[in-house]
Amino acid sequence: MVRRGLLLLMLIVGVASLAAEDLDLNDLEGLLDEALQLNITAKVLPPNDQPVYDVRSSKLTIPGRSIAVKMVGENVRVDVVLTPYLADNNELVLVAQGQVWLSEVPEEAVKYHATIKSLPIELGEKVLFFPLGLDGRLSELAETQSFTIQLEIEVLAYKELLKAAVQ
Amino acid sequence: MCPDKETLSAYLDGEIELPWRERLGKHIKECPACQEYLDSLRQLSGRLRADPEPDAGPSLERLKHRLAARAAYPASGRPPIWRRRITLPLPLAAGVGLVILCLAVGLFAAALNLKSSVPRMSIKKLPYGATEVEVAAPIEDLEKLLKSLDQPAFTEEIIFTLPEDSRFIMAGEPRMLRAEDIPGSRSW
Amino acid sequence: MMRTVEAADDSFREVYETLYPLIFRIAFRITGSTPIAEDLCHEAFIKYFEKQRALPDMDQTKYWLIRVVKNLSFNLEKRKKRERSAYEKYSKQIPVSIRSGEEELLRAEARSAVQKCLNKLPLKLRTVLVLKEYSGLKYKEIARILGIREGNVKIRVFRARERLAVLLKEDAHVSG
Repeated sequence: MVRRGLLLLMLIVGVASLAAEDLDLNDLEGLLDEALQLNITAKVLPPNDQPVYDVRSSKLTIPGRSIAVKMVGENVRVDVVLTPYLADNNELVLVAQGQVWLSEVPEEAVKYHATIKSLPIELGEKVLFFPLGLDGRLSELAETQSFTIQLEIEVLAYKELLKAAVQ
Repeated sequence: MCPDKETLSAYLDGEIELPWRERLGKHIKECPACQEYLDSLRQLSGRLRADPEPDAGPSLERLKHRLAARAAYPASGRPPIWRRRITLPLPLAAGVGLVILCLAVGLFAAALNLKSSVPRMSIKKLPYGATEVEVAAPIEDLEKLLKSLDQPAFTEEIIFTLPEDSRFIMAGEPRMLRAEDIPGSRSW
Repeated sequence: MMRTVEAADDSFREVYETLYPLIFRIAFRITGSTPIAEDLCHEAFIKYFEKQRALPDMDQTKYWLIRVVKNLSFNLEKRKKRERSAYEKYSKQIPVSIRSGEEELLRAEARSAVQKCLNKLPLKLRTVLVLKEYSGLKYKEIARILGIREGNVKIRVFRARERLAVLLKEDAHVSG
């Protein structure tokens, strides 16, 4: 089915005579089966208010291959490496490694924070990662008018998306 | 008196030669133990042969197409128009890049109306998780292809530039949780 | 000149029309995968096509094709084993399963209990049993194709059957 989907896509783009013996469809199909699409939405959340920033990006990957998200701001640099893993029992686990370089007070030394979080997830399930944290110091947030960053991550099976596109 | 099981197995396959075959047949008629074993073998055999298998028809059709395609080319079996081959070593971890690559190759063919000189690719899995992709196509197209590899779709990195007037602080420990687990009414 | 080419084409057509279903069935039963079976079959028939010199009769052709498909499947198995151990040696420390594309394909294909258990048989036993049950060949013919003694074929068929019976019983147990 997926094979037909891929062939169909190729036919649509006019590659009808792509010699089958050169293009190993088994390899492609195997990769397609593994392929995952990560939908990542970054939001900046002011305290108690609607997001002031909302940006989305999608990347294709396979289990074990990381997607790096870099966020650059005035007083902050956030690097998040997201890696979906397929555990032995066929469960999907999302691992997020976050690194934050932050200068809370201007002209003061930059502080560095690192974290690693993992969560077993389902395909299509929305996961939220807060590299700067979420609660605690909320009152301070309101006072200093500071914001926090939310990454919303959704992992989908690329094969399913392909099927839906071809139908 | 009973023959060994291996012999019964050969008997089932009709591989026992004549004088012994008759004697064996006579023994089996009178021996419930041998009958039972022979029956179990017959059942197994029957089960194996009755097991559904894929239809060879479509597969044969595909072979015929391949043979027809080969017949269209000279004895070497390859179209004689390739001017250059490049080998792009891609680590297997960049696997999905291959899928995109193939589609990109296809798109070039369509965009440039390359009906007679379709870009061809071969993918070889090397040991240690490397994958070698060989793309054969006229040079100008290869350059375009290589340029397109710099496109965002192929890389694994996303860069977000945060809004200018926002200042951030660490609001506690970084957290990761399922969206559905967020308590309260905040709908972000 | 034209005549000879046409005659050759005709005889080759007869070969694949007659033998393809059988070779495909054998390849499928040995490898357990439809796409892999197709690849092996195509390769075998294309090899025969390129030989340009037809074998004396349909039986010889049949043996030849079966032998090629059997060798290809053995090579495939060896390659998979090598890749797997290379992967394991060089992969990073993170303890997750690494799957090759082919393995994923194998897992994805729905399989009957019979084929599942066949796949579990060691390749040498599986091959002999498949040739016996699915191609109607006699022990002598199987021996010739595989390059082993007839007595060996008899033993392997027997051992394959015993093992398969056990595997099927275990499988029935597990699936309840």
